[in-house]
Amino acid sequence: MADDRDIREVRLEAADEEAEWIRRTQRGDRAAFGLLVERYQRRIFALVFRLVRRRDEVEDLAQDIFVKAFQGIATYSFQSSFLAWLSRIAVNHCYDFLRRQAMARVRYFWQMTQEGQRALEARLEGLNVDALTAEEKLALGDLVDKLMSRASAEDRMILALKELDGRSIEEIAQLLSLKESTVKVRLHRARKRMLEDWKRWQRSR
Amino acid sequence: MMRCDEVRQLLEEGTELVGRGREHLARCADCQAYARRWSLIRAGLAALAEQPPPEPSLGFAARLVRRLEEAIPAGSLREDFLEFVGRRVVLTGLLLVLLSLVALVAPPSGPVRESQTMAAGLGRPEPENHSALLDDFSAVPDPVRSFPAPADERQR
Repeated sequence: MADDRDIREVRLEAADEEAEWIRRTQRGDRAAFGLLVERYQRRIFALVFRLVRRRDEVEDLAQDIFVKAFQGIATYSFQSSFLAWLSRIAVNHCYDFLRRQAMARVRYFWQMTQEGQRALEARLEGLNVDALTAEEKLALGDLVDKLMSRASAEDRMILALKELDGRSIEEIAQLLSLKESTVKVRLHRARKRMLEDWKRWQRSR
Repeated sequence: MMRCDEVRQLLEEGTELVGRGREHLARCADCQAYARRWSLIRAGLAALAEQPPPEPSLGFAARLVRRLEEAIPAGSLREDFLEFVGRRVVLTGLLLVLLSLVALVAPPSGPVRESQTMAAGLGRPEPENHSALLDDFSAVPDPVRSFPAPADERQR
């Protein structure tokens, strides 16, 4: 009981501290914003990585996201948690990035038709999903990574939020400003399209 | 009998098939292939989710703050904030002024107001003598008299 109360008190103190950092940032205090960045940088790095799957791009994207947050902090009105507000900026920024990347999708298609990818497909035949070796997991991850890179920015965002970042339907609905029923339908379509794309790719070989 | 689409949605959500769903899967070769493919995709997604995300490099936050200091001049954020708040205050003020002007300019639509009736001289009590009338007129500014006559004209 005492432990629970202690945890609650610590959380409340942390929330008060954060609200104070936000107010100071709204008054133009960059050092206070630095404290917010330190608190959330790992969460934003993880989210960006799961959405774009490009290690080399994560730091630059995260930096842009924090700059956008700093510039727009006057509009933050404490209605939602700061992390939720920051995550929305991250999701929008990554979506724009993926849309720009989609223009270079042809390059990925040619990568997919290479010999190495054929070998991967052959290895998947007769694979026991319940007892995968580390190497097989890596191969499957590679395949899904390729399929994700071929998907549209919309499909990719929703799949990454659900399957990689482990968000609930409700959270995704809030992040993308959609209804929960719309998220469910889009998720189903995105999964279906991914499987169809895989099938198409198998047939094209 | 369940439809293929319904069974596939349950498979995607990871729901264990029972009853009619299981029966459908046992008979439908297409759904069996779908289930097999989806289980592989799901295993691939799980493998991707396990990959650790990159860590922020040392001094990321400090570098970011420095970048903000260079890129966004001090005070501009405060100005943005004040502008954000100030814009609302100014708009509210303008709206109030506009409403006041409309209220003053618009003709009265109800019964004639007493103050306007008095200003137009209607309903004013009759003065008892001329001096009272003159006194009354003296209250009205005369635009001609208000300018002093030229000096040569005054001499004549």
